[in-house]
Amino acid sequence: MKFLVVDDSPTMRRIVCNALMEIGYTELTEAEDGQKAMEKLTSEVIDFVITDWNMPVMNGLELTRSIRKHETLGNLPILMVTTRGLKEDVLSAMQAKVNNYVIKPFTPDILRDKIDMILKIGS
Amino acid sequence: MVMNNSTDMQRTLERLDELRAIFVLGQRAVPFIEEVVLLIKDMSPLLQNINGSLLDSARKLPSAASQLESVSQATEMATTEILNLVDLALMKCNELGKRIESTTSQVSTLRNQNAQFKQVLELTLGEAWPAFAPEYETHAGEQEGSMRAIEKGLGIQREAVGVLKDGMTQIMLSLQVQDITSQQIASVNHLIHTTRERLNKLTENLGNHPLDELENGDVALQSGSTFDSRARYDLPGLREVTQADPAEVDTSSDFASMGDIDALFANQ
Repeated sequence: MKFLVVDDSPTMRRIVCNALMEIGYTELTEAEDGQKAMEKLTSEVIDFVITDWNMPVMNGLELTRSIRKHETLGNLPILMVTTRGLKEDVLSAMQAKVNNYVIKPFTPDILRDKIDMILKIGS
Repeated sequence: MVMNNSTDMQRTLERLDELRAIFVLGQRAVPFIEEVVLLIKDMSPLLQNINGSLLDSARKLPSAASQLESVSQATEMATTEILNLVDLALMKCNELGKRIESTTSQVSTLRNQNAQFKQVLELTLGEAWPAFAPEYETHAGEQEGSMRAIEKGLGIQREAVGVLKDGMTQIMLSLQVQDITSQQIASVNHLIHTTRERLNKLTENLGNHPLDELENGDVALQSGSTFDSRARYDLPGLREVTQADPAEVDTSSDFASMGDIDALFANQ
């Protein structure tokens, strides 16, 4: 299973990737904003997207909407990992149709639980 | 005719009274007006000071924003260095862990080989074995003691490696604070940018040149960056607190716990 980790902070991309490797996912690719993520998604086979919300150029919410509107990528699992911790933020993300939501800081266990939850519902 | 003259005189006297009242009022008002003039005179340098102070403050804002940006960049660099070291330490821990497991396996193999060797000896020596057995057992017992000491040492090392790995993972996770603080700094920078724009308008209204015209080559304030001004750092996992009914969203706070998120997505 190949993951795309989208975050403008190199530190956060690295932390998310390390956490994914710790829980057993080794096929990883990265993008620093929503636009670059869309370029990767249309040129590579990606199975799962983990995205931040606050990013330049195209934020995580816009990325989610773009993916959902896309002809072939529409059903891609999307997990939002963000500092935005208000309930209204979670509701906005739900309206954009993310599959689940994690507030930073997170632990690998939380990440694993959320990924498992998404994949279980998807299957 | 006399009547008319008398009325006119009366009216004239009334007007004179009114005029006198105005003079009296004027005389009383003069000190007040003088005080107002003095106040305005005093206020003029004060306003000049405020004006100068506004300009000075507005000029310093880009520098403050730049310093904050430097803090953000410095923490990003420091975080990268720490992550590099954490990666190296984790790699060494993994190598050490593999060596511990390999040595444990070698001790186990040695024990099996000893048991097999004993069987070979028994078969080979036949009737001579009982005479040789005590010496063998003494020797084998000493060897077993050494192997157990090695295994005990390996166990302690395995535990230490586990503690180190957990610590390194925790350090790595705690470094998420860098992203959170950089968003808070970006938020403050945005506030500085807005304040400067307002000060710029104010100083323009006070008759000064716009600040941008006054400044040459000063550090530009960042705009258009994305941030979460309410980003906060809780200990990882702290938001996992579950409420009494996991299917219900806790309405007592604006912030979402992991339990709230689970409940929201479960009800989707």
